[in-house]
Amino acid sequence: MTSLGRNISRWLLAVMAAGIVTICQFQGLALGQEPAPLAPSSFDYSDTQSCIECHTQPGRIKDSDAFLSVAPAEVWSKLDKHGQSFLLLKDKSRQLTNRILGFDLRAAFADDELTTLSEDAKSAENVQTVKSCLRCHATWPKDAERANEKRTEPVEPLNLGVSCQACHGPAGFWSEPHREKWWRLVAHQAKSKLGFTNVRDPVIRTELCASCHVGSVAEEKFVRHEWYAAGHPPLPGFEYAAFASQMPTHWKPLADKGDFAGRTADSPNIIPDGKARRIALRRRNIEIPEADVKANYREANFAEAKDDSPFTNLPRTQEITLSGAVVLKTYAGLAGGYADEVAKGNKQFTWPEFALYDCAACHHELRRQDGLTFRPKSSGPPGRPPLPRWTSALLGLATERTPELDSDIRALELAFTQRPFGDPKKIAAAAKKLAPQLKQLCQEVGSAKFDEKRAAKSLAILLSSGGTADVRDYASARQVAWAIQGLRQDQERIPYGFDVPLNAEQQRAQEHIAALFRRDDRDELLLTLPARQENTVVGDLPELLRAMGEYDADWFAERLRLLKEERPMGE
Amino acid sequence: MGFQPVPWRWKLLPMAKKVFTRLGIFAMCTAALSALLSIAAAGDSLFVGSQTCNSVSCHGRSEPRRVAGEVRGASLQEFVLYERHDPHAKAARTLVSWEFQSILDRLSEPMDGPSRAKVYRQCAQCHDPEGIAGEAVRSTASHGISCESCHGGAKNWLATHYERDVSRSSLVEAGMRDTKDLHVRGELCASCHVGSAEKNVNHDLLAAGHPPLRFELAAYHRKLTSHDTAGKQSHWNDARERIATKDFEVKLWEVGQLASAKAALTLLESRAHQAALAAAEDHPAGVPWPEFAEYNCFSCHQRLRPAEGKGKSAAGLPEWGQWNLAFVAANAEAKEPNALRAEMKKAFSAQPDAVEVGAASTRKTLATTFIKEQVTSNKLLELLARPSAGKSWDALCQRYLAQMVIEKSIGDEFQKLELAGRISAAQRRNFNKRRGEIDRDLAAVGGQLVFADEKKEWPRVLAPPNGIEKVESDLTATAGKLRMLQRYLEQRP
Repeated sequence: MTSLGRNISRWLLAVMAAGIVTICQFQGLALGQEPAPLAPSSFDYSDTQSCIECHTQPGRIKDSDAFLSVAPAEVWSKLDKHGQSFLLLKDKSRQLTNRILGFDLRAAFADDELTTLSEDAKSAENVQTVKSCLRCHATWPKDAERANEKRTEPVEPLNLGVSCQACHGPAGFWSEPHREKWWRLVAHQAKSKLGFTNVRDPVIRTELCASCHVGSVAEEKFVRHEWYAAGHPPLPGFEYAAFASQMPTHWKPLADKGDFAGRTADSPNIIPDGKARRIALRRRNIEIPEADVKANYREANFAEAKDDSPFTNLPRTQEITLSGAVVLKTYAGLAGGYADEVAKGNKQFTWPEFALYDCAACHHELRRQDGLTFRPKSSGPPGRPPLPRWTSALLGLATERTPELDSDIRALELAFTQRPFGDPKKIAAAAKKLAPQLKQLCQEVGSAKFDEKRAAKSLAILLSSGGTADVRDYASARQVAWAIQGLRQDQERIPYGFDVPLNAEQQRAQEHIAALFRRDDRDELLLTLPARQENTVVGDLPELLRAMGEYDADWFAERLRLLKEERPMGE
Repeated sequence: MGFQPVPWRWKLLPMAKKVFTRLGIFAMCTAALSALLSIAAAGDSLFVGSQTCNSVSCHGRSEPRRVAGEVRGASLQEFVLYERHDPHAKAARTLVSWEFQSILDRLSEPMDGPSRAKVYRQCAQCHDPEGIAGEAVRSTASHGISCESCHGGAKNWLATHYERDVSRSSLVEAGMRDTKDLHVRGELCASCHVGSAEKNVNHDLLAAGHPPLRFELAAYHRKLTSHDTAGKQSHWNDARERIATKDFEVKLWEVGQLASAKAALTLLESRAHQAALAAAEDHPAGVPWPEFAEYNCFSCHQRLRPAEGKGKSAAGLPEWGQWNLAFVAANAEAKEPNALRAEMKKAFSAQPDAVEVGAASTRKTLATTFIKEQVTSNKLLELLARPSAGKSWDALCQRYLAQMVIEKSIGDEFQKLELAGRISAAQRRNFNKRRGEIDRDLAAVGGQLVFADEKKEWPRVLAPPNGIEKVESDLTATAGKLRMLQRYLEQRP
């Protein structure tokens, strides 16, 4: 199908959906009931090219001000790799892709260009497998499946990879209104009803990244061990702040933004532009209730915040702490979700699934220290694969934890080791019990205050981290190292983001921080990620395996000790 | 801190012999007295303690007993040699090392872990049988592995075992273990070095830091007697058996293979039995199943590396029984080993009750299938020529060890001919030249099989650019050379 044809069909779908909404609303009104909820928006994607066009040229954005001080699409298109995630499968690493799949990628597609999946019943199984790759390697979320009648036609062209709308939400209903300044005043709940993902909410943002970078059974985002064994690179332990800042960022944290219109109630130039709003909404025949348009940006987005902290929080300090909580929450959801399917007898979920356990539990080189094992101590009996240790390496920073949460986390750990590989039923039950508590923790961390004091406290926790993270494990050590760097950057007030000019003092501090974990002028822990388009995870793999295999826990412990001496606690 | 040898000046004091002879009578009285006291204290226990064995007039002589200038029969310095050279004498010291404390910590610290006392008791089964025996008689005098740990509780034979006309069978009846019988000895060694129901080095223990058990009877004998290390001597002398039995070394190897296989199957049966019981009670915390220690370590413990080659390489299942059953089960003709192997091949879904039955029936078939006839170097070379069951590091090590056995055995047989004066100087040179070449080749193979360095328990053969295939073909080449050497030996009159 040509691109024009695809666009037309997408439009037709959108129009049909809008029509259905209108009819529903009309019927609702006619019967004197509450208006029916707005259209199911999960499949209503708009043309990504239109996003790129506006966001590449800030000049084209109406009344561009302090709110939009970067050209996000410029960074995105030229530097960021997410947009190339499908091309990686299709071109760059095609051979590897085929090996991982066990068949040629083409076998799952209807055309040589790999735009539409095959409808052939014979290739149904291959199609299902490829779809689960596309959940992370393209823009095609599982919940967009239900609405889309044609299950072989991607909701967005696959070549766009993980596109704008993969994270920001399908824009069919909000692409028009979001161009207006008053959009900033719309409550985030009202925006999300239109399909907009409120990535300004740190919890939503971190969870979004973790859904691919850690995984999710519910969203069909899960790299099986079979794929790893066939060559899928290991997912490196995800730490939000490090990953986000190396992407590189195409946004600025609120703390670094200027005094943009609508920031506070008495901001200049904040015009609830009635006319623009009416036009914007009328085009898709949607309405935003007056009550959902707030007095200012903070009220619209951070109604729960007790103070001005969303605008003043040290960005990395918050993200690092939140990342610790979100990673564990996501992982527990993944393991629990998988174990639950096994317990229910779903034959597609085989047990044991090695990808759920700590890779290093088996894949360590039986290293010994003075004749004895130097593996991290286990919470359960040694010798049974535990859940990935690094997933709780930064949890100690979330001081909002309750004793009950800690004991339930231990219960999950023990469910994994009570017997080798654990009992799926017990793992599922433990994860289920943990879920609401971890959600609560994420919410609390998400709305907590992250100032200098908290940064110092977090740093102190990490530097005397004997009790919080077992740094005998490479992936955990990497989490700790990233976190320390981020916290120090916040302390030195180094602006967040890509390519920002630094003053001489900041420059010095930045260089010092970058060298914290270098050894003989080498990036010992490989803290630099293969971000940016010129790098690939596959190309970086030998280097990563080197770092994992040669990780020297004694050296790292010594580094922490020296850093602690350098910065006594409570500073 | 190393082992403290007996002070050197003892050897130099010319008076020592005379003094000891005079002291002998006194010492004998003391020994008899202490033996009597021990027996009185022992009550129901058969244990009397090694202090009753090691007096200078019995097994504690500093010099071997000589009759007409020659050492014949028992040297009576067994205890001294044991203390001086035998690593078993250090068994109890292990339990006061920091390494042991670290293992104990790792095993007993977890929330649901067993108590330290329970773990200690488990360790003591092998490391401190004297201590356990001592407990029964409320004595803490003796610790570690000592005389009675292997030779049997001496209460009922202590007073008679040195008598001139006492028969072996009557002593065995009285509780002495007939360690001259190689099968008895092999099973005894394997009960600790491989395991048994009570002596279970499982993967929990390995992960806590215990070294994996990799036992081969002939190689371990060579370690104890090792003629290449100056002055090192085992506390017994089997020269007579070695001379009398053709290919004694191969016989020893075969006994060891059988004993190891039996012990491994006993252990597996007990593990499976416990696991089946635990599963029924839904409380399997203390009884791990699947038991990872049953499988080839390097099946799972692989270094991560970029995928190689073409085609889908799904994660394989771990290989079972590659060490202890390398030859015995692979070459057994009965169906049982295959049935058991098929069940164990399911690895993570192997059913404990099926494994328990399979292990028991396989063990029963072993006793008859492997020792049908006298095993000689020739027979073993034939066995080695068959396609090997596994391509694992474990299987390669076993093949290497078997070739070491053949090499020594051929050497021993040649030496016997030499002693009989049937070898010319030229023949000796020729033989030694060929043997030296094989030694070098085997040493090179051994160098590939050892661990890369002290800190990484990672056999060189598993790290690129070396490879299993290379070592396999090297071993095929050395086997060929050994066959040639054997033929050369057989051509001698």
